[in-house]
Amino acid sequence: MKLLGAILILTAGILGGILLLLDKKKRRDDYWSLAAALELLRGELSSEAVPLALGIERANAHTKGMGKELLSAVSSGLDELGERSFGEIWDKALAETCSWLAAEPASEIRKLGAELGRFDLEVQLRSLDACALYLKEQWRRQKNAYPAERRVALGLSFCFTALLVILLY
Amino acid sequence: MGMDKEALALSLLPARWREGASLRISQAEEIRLRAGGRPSLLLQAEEAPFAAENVTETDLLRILEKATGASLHAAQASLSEGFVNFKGIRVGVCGTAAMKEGESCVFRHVSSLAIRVPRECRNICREQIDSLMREGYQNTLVLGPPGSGKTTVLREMIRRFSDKGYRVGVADERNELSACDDEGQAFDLGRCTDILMGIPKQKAALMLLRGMNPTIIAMDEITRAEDAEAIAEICGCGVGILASAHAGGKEDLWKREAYRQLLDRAVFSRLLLVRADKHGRQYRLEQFST
Repeated sequence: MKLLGAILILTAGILGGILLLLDKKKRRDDYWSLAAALELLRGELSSEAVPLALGIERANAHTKGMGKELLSAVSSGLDELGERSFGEIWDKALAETCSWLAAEPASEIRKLGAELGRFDLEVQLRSLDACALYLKEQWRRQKNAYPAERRVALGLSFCFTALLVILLY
Repeated sequence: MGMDKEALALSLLPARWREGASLRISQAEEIRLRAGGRPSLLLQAEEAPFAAENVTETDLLRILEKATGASLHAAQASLSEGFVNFKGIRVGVCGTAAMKEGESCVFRHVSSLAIRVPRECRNICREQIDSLMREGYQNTLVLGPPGSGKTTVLREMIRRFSDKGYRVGVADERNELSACDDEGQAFDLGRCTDILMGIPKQKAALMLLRGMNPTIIAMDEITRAEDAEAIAEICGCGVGILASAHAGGKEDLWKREAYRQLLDRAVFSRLLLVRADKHGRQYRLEQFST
């Protein structure tokens, strides 16, 4: 019975570590998805100078994950134009869909919202480029750090669980 | 049919102003908004405020954002001419602008907006149009100062001739004659009318001529040299021409280079003068002799 309890605690501890890592991996992929959505939007705007709403709709159709969630939220918020500025609609969509984002990346994406829809298309395209590049850099950084983080997370969860088993029994 | 244009014009305003503006919108020609001033309706010759608070630049920017779907870059071409088009409603823009690459215009600050309230006025100018119909169509130029109702007259002429069986090809570059939106065409332009939108008049006129076999080609507001060239190109092709132009009177036409070549070639035979004052609108049909 004691052995079974120890095995269960060990398994739960290691599973907890794995779930933590999976969540981290998902967040890392979310950066990629956001960057990809912004690149698609950039492509739509630069090829035909289409209105932003149409660009967002088209980019949304070809993207997935967190990027799609953000673009969908912005798209449905566009009905409020006139009462709210585009920047406010963008901020609201960002807060609704990407609340997990750290302060710095969130601020970068918010800055982009303040540039989009403005007069100069070139400025908008440059801002989209810069923000997508920044998000990809975040993704790359997290990807490089992942093997070490995996070792630490699994090692620590194993050690703490083992310690718990020893203390209990 | 699309959404009611009065409601559409009101929808551009912030919610807090809509009720006040809606009280007299049916008589209004324009909604005038100036930063630092009270929002008002242009009723024939005078402006009547409809809210107590002053307009701010933020209000103007939001209205402009709404009118362009937060896409001023997509409205750059019309913005360079001083307006944007919101589902067939013209929104005139004023402020501090800067020229870019010698042509496109970028607004750094917006200080005022004029939202036109387009209307379909059936059976206006009836006597003059009947007279044109009796005599058989001759190339006609609708002439009047800004805001006199030239576009409304042009629309009515297109509808009447089209319903009479004339095949009318409309070069509606700015979507003001038909005012189409997602829900369809807001104004009835007649049963035999073909509309080409969003293409410069010069190109559109030739496309209509080649592709649609029209009896009359109609276009609103000849202002640029290219517009006059478009008319010169289709003149003599066996198709009637119906157009409108900004001018205080017949004499003003000679003062503008763009119109002079049309006068020299005697393109137009009839002139329909439109005047608007506090008593209403007056129409006068004249034989055009240069």
